[in-house]
Amino acid sequence: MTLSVLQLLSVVFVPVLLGAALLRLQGVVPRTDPLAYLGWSWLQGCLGVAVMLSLSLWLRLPMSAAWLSPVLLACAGTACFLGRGVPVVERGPREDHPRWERLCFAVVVGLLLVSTVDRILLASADVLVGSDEALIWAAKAKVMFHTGGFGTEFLEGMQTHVLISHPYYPPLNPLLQLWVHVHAGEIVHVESRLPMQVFGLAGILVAASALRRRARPLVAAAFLVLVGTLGRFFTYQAFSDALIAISLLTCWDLWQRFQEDGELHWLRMLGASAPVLVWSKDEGQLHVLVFALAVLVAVMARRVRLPEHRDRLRCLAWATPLLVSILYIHWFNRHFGLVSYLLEESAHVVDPTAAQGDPRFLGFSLRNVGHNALPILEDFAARIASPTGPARGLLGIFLVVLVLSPRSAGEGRRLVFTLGLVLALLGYMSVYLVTPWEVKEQLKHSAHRLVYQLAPAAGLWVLLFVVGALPRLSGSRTRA
Amino acid sequence: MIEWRRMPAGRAGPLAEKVRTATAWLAVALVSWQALASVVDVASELGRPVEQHLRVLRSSPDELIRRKLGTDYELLQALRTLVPRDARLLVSHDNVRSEYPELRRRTTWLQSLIYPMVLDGWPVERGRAGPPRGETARQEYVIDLDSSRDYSVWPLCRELASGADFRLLLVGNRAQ
Repeated sequence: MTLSVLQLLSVVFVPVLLGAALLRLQGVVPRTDPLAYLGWSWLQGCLGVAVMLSLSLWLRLPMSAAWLSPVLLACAGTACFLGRGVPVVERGPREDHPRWERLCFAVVVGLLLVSTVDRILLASADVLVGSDEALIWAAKAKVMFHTGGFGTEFLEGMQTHVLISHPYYPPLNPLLQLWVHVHAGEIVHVESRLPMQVFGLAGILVAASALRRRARPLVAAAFLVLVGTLGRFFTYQAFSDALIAISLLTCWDLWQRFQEDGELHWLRMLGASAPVLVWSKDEGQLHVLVFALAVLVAVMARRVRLPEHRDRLRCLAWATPLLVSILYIHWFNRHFGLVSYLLEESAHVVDPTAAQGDPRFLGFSLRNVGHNALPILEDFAARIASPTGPARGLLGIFLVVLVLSPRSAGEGRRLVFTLGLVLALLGYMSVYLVTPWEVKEQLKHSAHRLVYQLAPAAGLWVLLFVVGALPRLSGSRTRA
Repeated sequence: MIEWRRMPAGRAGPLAEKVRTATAWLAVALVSWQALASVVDVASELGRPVEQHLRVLRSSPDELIRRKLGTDYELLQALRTLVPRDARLLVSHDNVRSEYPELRRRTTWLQSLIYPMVLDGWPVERGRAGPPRGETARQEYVIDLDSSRDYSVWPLCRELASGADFRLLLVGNRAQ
C-alpha cells in the first residue's frame, strides 16, 4: 500500500469526526442512537470533506493532507463548541426482548461488519483500472488532483472524451477519491476506493438501527443479513450507486422516524443528510423531486404527518443545504459546459436551435418511447424478480406486497415512503424511454445498479409492513 | 401536529386482514430465504485462501498492478520510462469490430495507470497503410497493437520498445 497506517486512519476518521461534529450541531450524540451514530457521522462527514475540497479547488489551494486534515479537525472542533448549546436528542425507550435474541442481533451486526472489512481487503487487491469506475469516477478524481483547481486545465480534462465519461456527474465520489490522493501526495490505484467502501460499513450500521428500531431482534437480524449484504458487489468497485442506496435508506429511515414519533429533530437530520444524494449521482435529484411529489400527494390526501404551523418555516429552512447543493451542481455543470448525454445525443439528432416545437424532435422522442418501452419493462421485471440479482428480490417482495395487500401502501404513515419508492422506480424506467442509445445495451450495463439503489429502502419498507401486520414481530415491547 | 387520519373506507374486512397476515408471513419467508442465500455467499467468500485475504497488505502497489496487467505490465513500464508524462499517444490497431472490447479493456486499464498521458485510438483498415498525418503532427508516440499499419511511409519512425504483443514507436513527418 502507498498510504501509511496513520494516513489511512486520517482518510477514515477525519470525515467521521467532522460528521460527528456536524451531528452535534443538530443535537445528535452517540447515545441518541448508538447503532446508527457512526453511519450518520460518515455520511455527513464525507459531505463536509467534499465541500472543503471543492472550496480548495476553487481557490487553487495546495492539495495536501498536511494542512487539509488539521483544518477539517479544527472545523470539527469549532462545530462541537458551537453545538454545546443545542439540546441533546435522547434515545427512545428500550425494549425488553430476551437476552439471547439481542445477542443474536449483535452477533449478526458484528459478523456483517467483519465480513465487509474482509471484503474490502479482497477487493483492494484488485487495482482500480477498469470499466465505468475508472472512466467515470476515478478519471475525474485524477483530473482534479493533477490540475489542482477548477480552471481551464480542469475543463480541458473534462472535455477529453477518451479520458473521461459522463463528466457532468456529481462530484462526491471523485472528491472522496481525491481525498485519498491528497493523503498519498500522488494518484493511487489501490486505496482510492476506500471511502466508497466505508459506505458499506456505514450502510450496515444505519440499516441495523433502522430495522432494530421497528422489529424484534431476531426479525431485524434476518432482514439485516439481507439488507446488509446487498451492496457487497459495490464494495468491489468504486461506483456511486452504494452512496445513493445508503443515503436513500438513511433519508427514508429519518422521514419515517418523524412520521412515527413526530420529533422534529429527525427532519433536521434529514435536511442535513439529503444533500449526500444530490452530490452522489444524478439519481439523487430524481429522489428529491419524487419526495416532493409524494409529500404533495399525501398532503392532498391528508395522509401525512406535517410539522405544526409555527414550526413549518423552520423545517423548510433545514432544506437550505439541499437546495444550495442542487443549485451548485447545476451551476457547476453550466459553468464548465458539461451536459448530460441525454441532451447531448438528442441534440445530434435534430438541430438544437430548432428543437423546440420541431415535430421531428417530438417524433424522435415518441419513436424512442414506442421502441424502448417493452425492452425496459422486460428487463426491469426480470431484475426485480431475480433472487440472485443485486436487489436479491427485495423490490419484487415490495411490489408483491403492494399487489396482494394494496391497503398496506398507506398504512403506518408510510404513504409518502410507498409513493417515493414506486415513483422512483417509474422515474428510473422512464429515463431509458428517451435514451438515444441502443436501449438493450444500456439496460444491460446500468439497470442492475438502479434496481440495487432502491433495494435497501425497499427492505425497510417491507419490514415496516411486516411488523404492522404481525405485531408479535415488532420491536415496540417496552419496559414498564 | 396534523393528526393521522384513517382511510375513508375504514377497517379492512376479515378476508383482507387474513390476506394481509398471509402476505406478511410470505414476506418474512422470502426475506429469510434470501438471507440464507446471502449467508452462503458470504461464507464462500470468507472461505477463500488466506493469501487472497491478505494480498493487499503483503504486496506493494506495483506488484498488484503487475498482477492485474499481466503481459501489458511491460508496456506500462516502457510508457513510464520512455514517454513524456503529459504526452498524447496514438493506439494503432486494426479496425476489426470483434476485437474492440479487448482493445478497449487494454487501453482503459493502461490509460488509468498512465494519466496524465492520454491514449487515443488510431484504427487502420487491414492491408491499407494510413497516410501520413498532417504537417501539424510533427511527431507522435504510437503504441502499435499488432496492427497492419505500414510505418515506412513516415520519414521518421523509431522503435522505442517492444514486447510480446506491442511496439512503442515514435513516428512523424519530420524530426522535431
